[in-house]
Amino acid sequence: MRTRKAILALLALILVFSAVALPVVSKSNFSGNQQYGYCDNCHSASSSMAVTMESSPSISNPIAPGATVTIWVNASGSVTGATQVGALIASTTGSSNSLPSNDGWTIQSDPSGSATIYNYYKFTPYSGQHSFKWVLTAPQATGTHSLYGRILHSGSQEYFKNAGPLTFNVQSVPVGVPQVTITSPLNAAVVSGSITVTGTAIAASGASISSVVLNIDGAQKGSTTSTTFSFAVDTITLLNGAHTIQVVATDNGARTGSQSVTVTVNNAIPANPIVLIVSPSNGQKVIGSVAVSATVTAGQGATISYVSFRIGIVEFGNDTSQPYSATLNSNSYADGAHQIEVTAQDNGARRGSQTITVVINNTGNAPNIPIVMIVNPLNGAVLTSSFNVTATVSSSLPLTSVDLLIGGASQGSKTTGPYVWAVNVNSLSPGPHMINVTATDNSATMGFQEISVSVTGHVAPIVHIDNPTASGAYDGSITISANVTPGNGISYVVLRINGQQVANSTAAPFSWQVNTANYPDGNTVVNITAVDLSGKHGYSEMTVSIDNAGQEEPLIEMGATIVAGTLSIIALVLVLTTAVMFYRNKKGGGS
Amino acid sequence: MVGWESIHSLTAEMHGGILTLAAVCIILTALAQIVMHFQQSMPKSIVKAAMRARGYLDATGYVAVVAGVFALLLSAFTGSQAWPMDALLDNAVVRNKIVLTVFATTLWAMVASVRWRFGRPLWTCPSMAACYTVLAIVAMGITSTAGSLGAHLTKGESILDFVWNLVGVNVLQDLLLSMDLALIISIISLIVIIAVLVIRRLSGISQEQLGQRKCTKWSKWDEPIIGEEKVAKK
Repeated sequence: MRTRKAILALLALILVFSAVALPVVSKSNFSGNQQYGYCDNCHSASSSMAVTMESSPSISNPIAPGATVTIWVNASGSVTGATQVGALIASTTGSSNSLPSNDGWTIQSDPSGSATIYNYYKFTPYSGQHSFKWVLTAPQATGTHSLYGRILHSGSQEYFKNAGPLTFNVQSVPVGVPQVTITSPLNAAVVSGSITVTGTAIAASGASISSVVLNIDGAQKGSTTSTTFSFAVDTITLLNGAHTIQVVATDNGARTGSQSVTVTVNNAIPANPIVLIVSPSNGQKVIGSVAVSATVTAGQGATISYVSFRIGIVEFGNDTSQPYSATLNSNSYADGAHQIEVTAQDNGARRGSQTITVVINNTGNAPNIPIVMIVNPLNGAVLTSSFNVTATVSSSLPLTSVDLLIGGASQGSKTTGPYVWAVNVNSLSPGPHMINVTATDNSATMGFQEISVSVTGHVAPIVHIDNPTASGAYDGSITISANVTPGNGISYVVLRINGQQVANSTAAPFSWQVNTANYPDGNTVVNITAVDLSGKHGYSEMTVSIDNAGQEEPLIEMGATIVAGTLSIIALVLVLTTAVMFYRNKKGGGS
Repeated sequence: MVGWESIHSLTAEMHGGILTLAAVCIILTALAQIVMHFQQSMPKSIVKAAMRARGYLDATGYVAVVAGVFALLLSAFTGSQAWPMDALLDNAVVRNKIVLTVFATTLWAMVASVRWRFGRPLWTCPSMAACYTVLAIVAMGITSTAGSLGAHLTKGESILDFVWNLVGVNVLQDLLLSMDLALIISIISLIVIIAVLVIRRLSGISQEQLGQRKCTKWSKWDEPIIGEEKVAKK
């Protein structure tokens, strides 16, 4: 019973408050305001008042359907003899269908501030500066929509003065690009074997994902339509070193968003077989049947499947088991220098070889040739840093030149010892290379040795963006920073935003302060690229969302949200528990 | 030297663990009460286990809720130290995490206050027990969501991502209210709070106590007391 009384008392209080408050509010309502057409034939004489119009936002920018537009009609000067003066806004000139609502506009508030809203507002006094504000909702239909201002007054004569029009371009708001997040592998990860590229592609509001494509080093490796993508990648198919994994999502409006990570592939690949010809020795004179033997060392985990013995392209023997040997019938060849090449192939089709020069001398008239021995590097060596090529040469005649060739390209020539050349590993591309040292005597007779080495060289710089740390909306001034693992030193590091260079630095820390207000709201691509001293580059890229429009006062909004949420939680719990107690009270017959 | 990031990881794990324990205990207590309601058609072993466990579960849940609220506050403090203050509001995810953490703390505090206000007898009333359990579940959900945002900030991913993908929610987007809406919600909530407190006062239920005599008509529930099976044997 007491409860009912309390509720009734509360309702009565609300009613009393309404009865008192509403008239106070409506006191400001100006009687005589109304919906009023442009009525270009109603008033014929030009008023002495000056009238202008302005708007927010400006008409220079397109607005979205349903956007809020504020219009001010400003009047100045004075009118004499008028019985009433008013300002109005209209969507067109003419005597009919000129109300803003006729063109899809909705007036949210008018200068009177009252609950009943009109396009025409009567004002007093009839002199001085006046500014009348209407707040409108833009039409949903795209295209151009105009608003006109007009001052009308009547009395001894009906006057008018026009302003505007303000023509707005209503356009659909562009839908944001898809947001791609690669959850695995992480940027700068070192990977091997089979990996799975996983993550999510989220379309912007109002769009849907139509395809998700995986690219590795720019080449497409897979595609799906699932927003939660998972691509299996066998890194054995990639060379050891840095690779860029990029996932590109395309939505139903052909808008694309992407994220890239750079990973380093480090598969334990067995080294190529190493061949060492034991007999005959380089430059040796041979006659008749010659036993050619070699030792072969397979890479770790590999086995030798085939060893071939050749002069030129002709195989004169082969072997599949230790000791690897074959017999050369030198009588089948003309006297003179010949190259014997022994090539070994392992079970992974990796090859290694050594070539020596022998002088076939069955007639006894063959000349001596310069004998070259490459001391460093060893045949089959894996080179990761700059190195020296060192050779020894013995000759019965004076030497005219000793030349170093790598991959057929001359690297230098010497006429006297020591025969040592410094080679910058960065000048060689990763992969196998043939090193050849050729000596020529004064009779133009040449002798050489050739070995095979493998260059892994350095990897490209690896960039990891430390901040921003996550996708999401950013506003105000933010710090963009990156950690760069240099390959061959660092030449410079560049920060690009939406493809435009914003800042660069030649030394760590690579950190920049960026004001997001300088960029349009929406998805923004942050790219940090590092270039090393040999020109190799690595980069990391991420898409972040900038939202300055909605976050002008994040602290205040956050505080307001916390207060509102906390109060509503407390209210909810109080209501729930009170409702339960009422229910129990009733069922249990009171306490 | 141990950094604030490490300390925050520690406290976050602590409040996560304590509050998970609280939620699990409250849910299990509710299940035990349901078993007690249907005890005639339940295997005796299950009824006995429910009877034996519910007293401990309720007490543990209560203690864990209170401890969890303090752990949440501690976590909030260490979190504020771990993140650079000048960049605290740069990131919408951080803002969302702060908001959700406050909501979670408030809700857990309300769970604790409901248990404190009504005591063990709240379990004798199905409606109040349901209210208490649902509040704990919702609070746990908000706590988990805040934790998921923390995982996104530190690891870029969360174990709950599949849930967000499933329901199509992007928790990384800013959830702050507009000033107008926040003001309206605040005013309405304040009016509701004042009105409810006035009604409670006027109707005389502000001092109302729950108990078996009042609430057991349908549920036949009694209070979950530690060691009650021994009492029952006697």
